[in-house]
Amino acid sequence: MLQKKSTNNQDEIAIKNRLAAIVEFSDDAIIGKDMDGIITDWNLGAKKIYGYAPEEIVGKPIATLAPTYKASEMAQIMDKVRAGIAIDHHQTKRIRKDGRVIDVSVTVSPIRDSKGKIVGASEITRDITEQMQITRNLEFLAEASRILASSLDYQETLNLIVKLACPFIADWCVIEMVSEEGKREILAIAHKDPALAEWAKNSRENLLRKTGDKPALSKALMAGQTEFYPEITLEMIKGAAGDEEHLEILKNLKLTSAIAVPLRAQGKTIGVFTFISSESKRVFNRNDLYMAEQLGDRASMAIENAKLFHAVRQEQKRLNNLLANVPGVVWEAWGDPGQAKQNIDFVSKHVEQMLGYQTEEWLETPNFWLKIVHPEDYQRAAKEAEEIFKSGKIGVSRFRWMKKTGGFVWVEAHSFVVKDKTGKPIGMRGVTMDISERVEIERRKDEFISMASHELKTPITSIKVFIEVLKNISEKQGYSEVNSYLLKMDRQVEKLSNLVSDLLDVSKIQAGKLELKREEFPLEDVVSETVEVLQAMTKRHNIKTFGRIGSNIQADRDRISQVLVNLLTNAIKYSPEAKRININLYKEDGRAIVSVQDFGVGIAKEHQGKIFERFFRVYDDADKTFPGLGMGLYISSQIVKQHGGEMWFKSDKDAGATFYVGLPLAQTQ
Amino acid sequence: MKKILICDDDEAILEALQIVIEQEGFVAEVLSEGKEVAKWSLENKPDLILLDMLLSGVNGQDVVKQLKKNVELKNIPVIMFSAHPSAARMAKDSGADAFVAKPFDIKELIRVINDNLKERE
Repeated sequence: MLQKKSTNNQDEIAIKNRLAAIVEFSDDAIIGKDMDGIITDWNLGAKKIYGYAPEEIVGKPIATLAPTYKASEMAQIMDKVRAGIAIDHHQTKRIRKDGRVIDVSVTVSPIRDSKGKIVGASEITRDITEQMQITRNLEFLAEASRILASSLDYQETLNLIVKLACPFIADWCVIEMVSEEGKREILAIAHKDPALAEWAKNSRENLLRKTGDKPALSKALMAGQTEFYPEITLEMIKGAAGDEEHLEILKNLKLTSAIAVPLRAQGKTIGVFTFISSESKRVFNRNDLYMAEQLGDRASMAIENAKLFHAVRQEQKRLNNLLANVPGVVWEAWGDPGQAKQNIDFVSKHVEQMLGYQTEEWLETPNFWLKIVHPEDYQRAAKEAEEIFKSGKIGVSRFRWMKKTGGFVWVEAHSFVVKDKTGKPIGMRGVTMDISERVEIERRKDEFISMASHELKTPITSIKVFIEVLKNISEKQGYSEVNSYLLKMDRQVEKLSNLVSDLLDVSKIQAGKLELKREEFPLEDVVSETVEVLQAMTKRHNIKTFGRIGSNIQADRDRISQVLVNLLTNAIKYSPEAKRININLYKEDGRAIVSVQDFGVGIAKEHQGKIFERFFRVYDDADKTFPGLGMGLYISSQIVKQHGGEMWFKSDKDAGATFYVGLPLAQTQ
Repeated sequence: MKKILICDDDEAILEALQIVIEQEGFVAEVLSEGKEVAKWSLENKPDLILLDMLLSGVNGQDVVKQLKKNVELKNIPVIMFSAHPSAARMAKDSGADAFVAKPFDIKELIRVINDNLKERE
């Protein structure tokens, strides 16, 4: 029993020794204190964390270990101890013997005697400074990224960066950019005292002005390497100073430590970010170096973004200026114009001058361009826009735009279709020009043609009547020779008269005043009548008609006859060496088709696009033109168009030409 | 012989038409002033009137309206002619019996004159 007890005692002693060793060599500070807060026990960990040896601190109040601003917290902890309450992992600040404030996690537990009475407390302190620093660093870098991403203005970005780093990393933070020649130029500087920062900037600039030279960056920085000076020596200051005065200034700043991080873009050093400690007497360590480099990387990116943004904005400004001076409206719109879903996303400033609506109105209102089209042009303009969009090609459309202040402007819109990757039309871009002046000139010209042709008809009329008078007289007198000349004269006057009529037709078409007297009749009738007349005019050609339609068309008989006369006259005119002209009649897709085929000079490829234009004529090899004003095909195609029909042709140079007229069949059949 | 009044402000046409119409066996009288047509017609009772659309001093359409309002003159056929593009419709609107576009074919004009005279018989 005794043995056993003695064994127990020995065990207890062994356990106690072991526990004492654990306490003594723990990395945490384990401190004992009495009810008055006087330190009674102090392990090795405590010495390591706080810097005091046991003999220096045992017997002193626990409050010695806290910064003065934490005194009340210390008192509260003691109150809790007395009340028997434990404190677990409380994060707070403590102060070391050397005065450095550290982050700690504290656990305080009351100590009771064998009767359960509280006699003191144990305090376990863990140094979490490094852990807290990492957290703060991460938070700082996250915040830095956020702030840097928030601005795209170059100078603002630089200012933000230096302010961010000061005083978190250093007392002085400076950004200098490198010029084309590798010289450095100060662009942003920060210090906790803004007045001092301003002074430093000015004195630096003064120095540069005085020496007239901007120092270059070191080779290391240019190569992208960071320069790290944990300790700034007097020699280094002397080396950096421009003159005696400057040296004095630098000395007074009491610079202690410095880091210079290169700012890089696209593999090149574009600047340097310098961190200097002075009044804080902080000596930069590896952690500071890491932070400086991290911030440098983020700053490089932000500067690069700001530069790119600046360049893009400059380019945009340049383009806008360019576009604003185009004497037309440059625009871009997305969506299908046919479904009133077209949104304008760009319209050049010139539009304000042209119509008086602000560009915002164009951008905010869907289909705004169509909403301000003249009511008389509305349907047509909408249809034409939709046709261009669906065709996926380039198109031209003319219409009137209403001005905001009243009145209208004639415009011509040249549009082309924007397609997605699959080739589907998604939008349109173009230029719309004010053509009021041109329209006015054209109107005056057409008015002139109309008036001139009218004026020409009056003398032609009297000439024709006089020829008739002469014919009657010569017939009575039996002057057969005179009679034959009069017939020739009559034919020439008839030609002159037809030319004048053509001119008048052109002016009518241009003015949109070509009126049709529609009636139902078989196209065959007009064809045979016309062939009869034209066959009488040509001895060389044999005009043959093939096929039949068998249904009526509803059309203006005289106008359709005019078209056929024109086609047959052309066929005769442009095939002087040929013997045949073929006419084919047939039905196709609910239309009556008549084709006139000649075997003459044909139409060269380069002319084929212009054949239905006003005043266009075909030239032969010798560039010799055939007589005529080039109005016939234009008038004919317009007449056919007015009937809801279509005119087209097939031809090759020297292989003749075939002209086709397609007319809708009468509805009543 | 049927009496035809021709009114046009163009002297050349007036002269030529007078000769041609007389050659066709009519009595042709001419007037260059549109405003005298009604008065002259009341006094001379022509069988047919040829009237230009655009007359100096007075509108040919107004002359037709004036003639057609008068009970004594309204049955005289009036044939209008003009080189104006939309004259045909204007002539019909004002009450003219026929229209011939300038420059006309004389045979066509004579045919229209004869047709209108026949209608009145």
